[in-house]
Amino acid sequence: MATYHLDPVNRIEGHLGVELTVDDGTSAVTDVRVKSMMYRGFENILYKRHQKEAITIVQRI
Amino acid sequence: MRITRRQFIKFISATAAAMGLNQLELEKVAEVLAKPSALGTLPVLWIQNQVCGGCITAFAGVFAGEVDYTDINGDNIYDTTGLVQAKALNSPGYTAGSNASSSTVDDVLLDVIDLKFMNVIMGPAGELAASILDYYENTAAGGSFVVIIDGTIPSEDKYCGLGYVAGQEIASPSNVEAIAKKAALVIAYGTCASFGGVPAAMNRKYDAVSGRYEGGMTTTAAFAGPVPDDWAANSYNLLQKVVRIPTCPGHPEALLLTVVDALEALGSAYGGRLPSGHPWKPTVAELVANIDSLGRPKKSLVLSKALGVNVWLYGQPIHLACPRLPKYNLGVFDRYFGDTRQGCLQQLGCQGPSVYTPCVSLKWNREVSSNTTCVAQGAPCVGCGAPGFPDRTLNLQYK
Repeated sequence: MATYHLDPVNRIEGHLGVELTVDDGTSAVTDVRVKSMMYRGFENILYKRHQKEAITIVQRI
Repeated sequence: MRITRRQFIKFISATAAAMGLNQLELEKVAEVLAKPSALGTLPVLWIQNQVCGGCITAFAGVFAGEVDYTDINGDNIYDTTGLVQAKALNSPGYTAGSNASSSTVDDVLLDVIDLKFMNVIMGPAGELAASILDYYENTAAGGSFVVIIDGTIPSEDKYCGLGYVAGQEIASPSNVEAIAKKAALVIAYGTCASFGGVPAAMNRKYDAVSGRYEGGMTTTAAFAGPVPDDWAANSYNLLQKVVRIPTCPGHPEALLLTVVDALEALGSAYGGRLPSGHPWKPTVAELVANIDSLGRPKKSLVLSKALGVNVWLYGQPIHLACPRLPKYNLGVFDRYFGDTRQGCLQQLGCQGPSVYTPCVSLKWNREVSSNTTCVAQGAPCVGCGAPGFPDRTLNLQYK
């Protein structure tokens, strides 16, 4: 089993990566993971805020 | 990405028109700054951390639809199957999304800037792309390139991965810090990179700043914030300062004019085009003095010298240039959103008097009319370019 990374994926906004697991014997892809490589936590930022602040904050997602 | 003479003149002429200045004068400036440089250009890396993409959209919009994808032979870098042709990354003239060398030198002026790495527009993906970052971290000579940092810097590497090289992850902040410490200039573009911005906002759920996973974390150790000043405190950095271009998104003209100032001050070795002794040429001392205590450039030095007027970037509050300032002076204040009197927005929470940005002086989207600013449209300034956005400025608005 070998693991290959296609990361970053270009021409997309954000941090996207693909992780492939390939069987050495058959060269077949046995597992694929598409990963978002960046976390900010907008849900936690919005917690207990005035609803009008959400207008300004959520547009920055 | 390569910027042609025509594009640069167009951009700088629109800036002139927006400011109500003599367009011929400005085109003269553009002609000089757009001269091809025999010395080639300084490579620029655009590194995204915790971003939303607004900054890149704003910047790429300056030259929207005009990005050139041809390589050194004039061939499109995309072959007929749409796959990216593998390029030798460090071959002369390679740039992200295109090739710096051109077969038609006459018609291309290269490089006010020369982007080597930028997620959204570059041609290569995967290890081919990530190895550009690896090259500048481990192989390239210190001080031979400029780094533009976009987005909030996370506290730990697991919040922001940039790619894999030979199975090893390249991540922010550790790898980005190593690259920035070799750069000749560190430019923080946008409020997130400058002051922390939205990802560093107060997290009331955990009583801490955000930018972290929910479970199992200590509340204060995980900190997302602006580009630290010590990233610029090293022998390679020419200013020993992080240059900050706030506003959300970052103002693209402010970035370009600041880069032009810096390159001209640092001289021809860094891609400057004005000969020494030229009356427009800023000195390094002026460049350093032009940067305020928060790292923001106060004005565009080259344009201010060439035109004899102050071309303000971050040296003037937007209130002083506000299209609604006459209404403020007459005491006409809007009482609700959409008030047809179109008066001053102060009573609706406008932050204009305390926010220093080029929003009104340079406008947005290269429009000649003054309608391309929040305040002109009747939206009070939320202070997106001020330190403390969003917590401090929004608290003032909605208390």
